[in-house]
Amino acid sequence: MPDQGDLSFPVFAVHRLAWADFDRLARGGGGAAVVEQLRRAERSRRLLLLRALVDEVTKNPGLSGPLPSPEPAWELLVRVEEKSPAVLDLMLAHPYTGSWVGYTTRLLRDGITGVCPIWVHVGHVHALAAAAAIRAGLPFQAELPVWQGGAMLPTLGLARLPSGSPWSVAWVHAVPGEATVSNAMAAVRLPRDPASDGPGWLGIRRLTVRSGSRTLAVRLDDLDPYRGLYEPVPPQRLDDHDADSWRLLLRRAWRLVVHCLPDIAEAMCAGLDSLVPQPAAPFRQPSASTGEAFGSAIIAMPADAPSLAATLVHEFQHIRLGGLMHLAPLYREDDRERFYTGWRDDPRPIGGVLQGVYAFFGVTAFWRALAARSLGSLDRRAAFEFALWRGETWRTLRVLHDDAALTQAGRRLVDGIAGVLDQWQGEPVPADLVRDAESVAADHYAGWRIRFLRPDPPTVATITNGWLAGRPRLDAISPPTDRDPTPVPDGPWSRARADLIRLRVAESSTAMSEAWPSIPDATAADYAYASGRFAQAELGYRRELAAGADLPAAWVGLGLALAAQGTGPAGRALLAYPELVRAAHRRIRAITPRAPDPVGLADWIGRSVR
Amino acid sequence: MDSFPMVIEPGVDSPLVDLGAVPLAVLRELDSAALRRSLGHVVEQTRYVLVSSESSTTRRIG
Repeated sequence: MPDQGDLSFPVFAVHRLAWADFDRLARGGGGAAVVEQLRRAERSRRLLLLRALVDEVTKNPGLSGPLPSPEPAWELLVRVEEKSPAVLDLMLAHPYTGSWVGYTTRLLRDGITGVCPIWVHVGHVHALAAAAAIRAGLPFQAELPVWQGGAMLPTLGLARLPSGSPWSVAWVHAVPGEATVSNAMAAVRLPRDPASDGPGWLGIRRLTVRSGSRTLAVRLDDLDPYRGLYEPVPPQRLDDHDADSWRLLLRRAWRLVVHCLPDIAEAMCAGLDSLVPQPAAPFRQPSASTGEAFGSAIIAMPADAPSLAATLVHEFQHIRLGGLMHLAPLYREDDRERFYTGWRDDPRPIGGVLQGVYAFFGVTAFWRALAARSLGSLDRRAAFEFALWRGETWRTLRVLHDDAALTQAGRRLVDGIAGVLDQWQGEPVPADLVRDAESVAADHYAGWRIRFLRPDPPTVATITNGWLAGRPRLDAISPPTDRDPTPVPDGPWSRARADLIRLRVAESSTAMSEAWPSIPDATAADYAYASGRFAQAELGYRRELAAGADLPAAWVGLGLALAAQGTGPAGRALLAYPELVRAAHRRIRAITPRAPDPVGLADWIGRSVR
Repeated sequence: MDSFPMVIEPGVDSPLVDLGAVPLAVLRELDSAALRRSLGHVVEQTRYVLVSSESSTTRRIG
């Protein structure tokens, strides 16, 4: 087959990103111009996947089930492009066009059925084409898949149709300005503004917020089946009150993003299309995104505008990096979960770590800028979060930098981030907030170690035997590393101390004292620790260990309380290698009837590990 | 007529062909080794979906 020199076979250019733009992106910049480049590449990628999917289904007509083959959908999209190229671009840019075509491609390649029969997933191409044609004002008729009584028209909304079966077929009929979705039992006419609700119709709400010259326009998508992370999900309709809360919070958050990070705000206008609302999670701000749904962020109802602003920045960093990774591999595939990060409770593989570093680089930038704006009550909260995330991101970035799995481009990205992040390490933050940030970081790291690291058995035996022999100290034991974590945690974890400290920093000691019993997993010892009553906290953790000698949070809490009272070996051991202390404690308990004093044992081990 | 050589800034080259100027009607019929390579690349790439999910902590609600 000729490829070059034959005019009937065009020579394609490939998508590329100049190093200058790559470096801007690495430093957290690049604005809208770089995002537009990523978007153009995503458009080509999705078109290729669409072409591959149509090819495959055309060869295997049985995959279409009761629906027509994808050819009429492609032809309808051709008409859309001829009438309104911008509409075709919008539909191709729709985040869930990417996740749908990726998901369905996997099903076809692996020969498996997904959440629905394969024809429902394949047939979504008709829904995509129909929505495009409605937007373009074309007259047409088409058939669509219906899942649990819902016929989705992506970017527009969902028609509810009674149906006796989980999966069925509906018809859509449109003339300019009017469209109807129907089956044998009912017909739903789309409202003039499809974003609004109507009889049998749920519209996808649009949120448009402005700050200065920057306008962010997104869909609040609680309907599209491909808006989730892994598998299609049914609609989860927000009520109007929650939708209004989202609108209000987004307006306030957008103001913060524009004022704090104008370059990222500019980029976000070009690259963020859709928010998927999720229920609130007390004391947490869960959020997520997938590389296949460029432009979409899944976000739990935020507690306040700064939380939403930080989360928007966080997820947008993921979105940008996901787009970049479709252009250039940044690491060699390595699924081993071998890294500690300050933002996840479990060990992470290199891909997740790189994503997290870039996301929390953005989060750090946001809190840094917010802290510099002197907003009164927000100052201390922003400074605390800045101090915490600059340290956590830097710690992980330094480990990542030397990892052999990074490609040349990956290392260049890490270098770009480091060039900015390094300069922030020495910026002044009030000393008490630095201490709080260091305490939260030490707590999390020790908690990760005690649950995911398994100490070397001969070392544990040496310690145990030395302790039981009554030796004053051991010959020097090398400090254990944090390499090779296990995937299974040894015990539960609690974030209560971090929650308490955040509450005190963001609100007040009074607020913390009133709310602490309602904080998940918080104990009296945690409250004493967060209040600065370290001796009382130590006593409390000793009691907790007397009642449950394996509790990770109590061991680490004891280490924190001891370290806060001085710099002795016990506190150091419990924060630097708590897994070793607990393992020795366990072994001694198994051999002798009397449990050793946790502090005495930690002190003894701390003096032996050098 | 003299022509200036095109200067291409150094950067990352993707295996992804640029379809920005290819109409859908043309794309449906196109066939070439470059297109097939790129199709194979994107289909293969769907094996690796990077999902990012981090629960950052926040202030108290309510």
